[in-house]
Amino acid sequence: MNSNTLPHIFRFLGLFIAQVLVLQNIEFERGVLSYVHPMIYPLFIILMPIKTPVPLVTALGFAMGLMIDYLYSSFGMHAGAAVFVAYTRSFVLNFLEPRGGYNVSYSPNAKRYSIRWFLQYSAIMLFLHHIFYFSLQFFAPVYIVPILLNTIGSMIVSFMLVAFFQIIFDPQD
Amino acid sequence: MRNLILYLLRYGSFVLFLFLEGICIFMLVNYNDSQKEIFLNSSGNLNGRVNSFTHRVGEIYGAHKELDSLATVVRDLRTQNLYLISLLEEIELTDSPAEDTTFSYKAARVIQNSTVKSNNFITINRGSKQGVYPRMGVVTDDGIIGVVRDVSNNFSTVMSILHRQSQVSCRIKHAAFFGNLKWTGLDPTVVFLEDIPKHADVEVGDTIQTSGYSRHFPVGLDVGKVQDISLSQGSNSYTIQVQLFNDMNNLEVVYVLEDQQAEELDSLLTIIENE
Repeated sequence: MNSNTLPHIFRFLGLFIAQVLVLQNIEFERGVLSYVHPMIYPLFIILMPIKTPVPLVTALGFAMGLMIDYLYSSFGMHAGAAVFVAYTRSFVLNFLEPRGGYNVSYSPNAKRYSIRWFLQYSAIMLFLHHIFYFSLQFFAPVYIVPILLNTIGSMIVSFMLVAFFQIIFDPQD
Repeated sequence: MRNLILYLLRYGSFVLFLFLEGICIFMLVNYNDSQKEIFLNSSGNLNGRVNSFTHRVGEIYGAHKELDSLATVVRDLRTQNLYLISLLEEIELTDSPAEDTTFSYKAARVIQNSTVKSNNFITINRGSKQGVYPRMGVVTDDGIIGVVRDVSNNFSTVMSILHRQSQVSCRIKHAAFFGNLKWTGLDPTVVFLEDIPKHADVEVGDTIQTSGYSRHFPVGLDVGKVQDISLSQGSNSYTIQVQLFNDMNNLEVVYVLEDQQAEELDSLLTIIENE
């Protein structure tokens, strides 16, 4: 374990705590806000170093998802979405590869690349995560409208949180 | 095993992904009520569809089996049918059309026939092995056909009465005036009876039958009926146009006549010749 790993462990735990202690309580009974279920923990997967092997990312996503599921008592939903987004991360990174290529030792963050690139990348990742999560939650194609509404509503808030996180903490590698 | 390891190394992350997603889905449908309900409902639905599909497949398969058994039945019936046809043929071929002790009948089947030439021959499927010899008469139930000319082991050629050299002695049924039956080579349904004397009492519609003077045929076989009577200039005999009773174009089973008393009569005639 070297010094590079430590921030990721802290981020893992910090995001987990933020999710289950704060964001879990954001529940609205009715109205537009009832579609808002913000999720910040995918940021841990988003910010993992690019060279991390895909199986490890997938396994860590599964671990994070399971922990959150345990406290949400929604077994499988977050884990499934996290595993999905962790596995597809390599494809998204391939798709978004900048002209100069990646420096694979570092995280795909705004400092290494541009804030615009980072927001694009995290938006895609969040969208994949959210739509998969709500698909698992509703679990039937007939609920396509609530799935999309929840995805959009939650994504707006989650995306704002990720952007704030990036601006406030400006995570290093 | 080595291939499996290589496969896992190459596609390991995907396999892991599928494995973890499988665990997630498993937990999802086992520990969450609404997902469980949806899963059970849709799987029941799917089950029903799969069941009905397999049921239909089974039906189709069963129909195929049924078709197979039907084909077997059809084959058996065909075999039986052929057997029955051959039995019928045997029955047809052994019947005798008339009871005449002088002549015995051998049934035969026509295998080749012609009526359009000026000299017509018929081929039948009986030959010397079955006791058919040249100069035997050939008849049907309705009338006379011709005289056997050549025989092989199993086949014979018959000189049809529709042959310009054919001559059969015939008579008018009620009057016993006799003449020769000949053919001019035109209409296969019409022959001519010649040499009936002018004083004979003949009318249109009278029946013509064999006279028995031609030794190929017994006495009194009906041949045809008088259609037209003509008397040529300066002649003493009628030429009678005879409509044949049998249809020479439609021959199937014919009978070859064997004269039982031929040898006796021959020996008697040779006595006369020798004197």
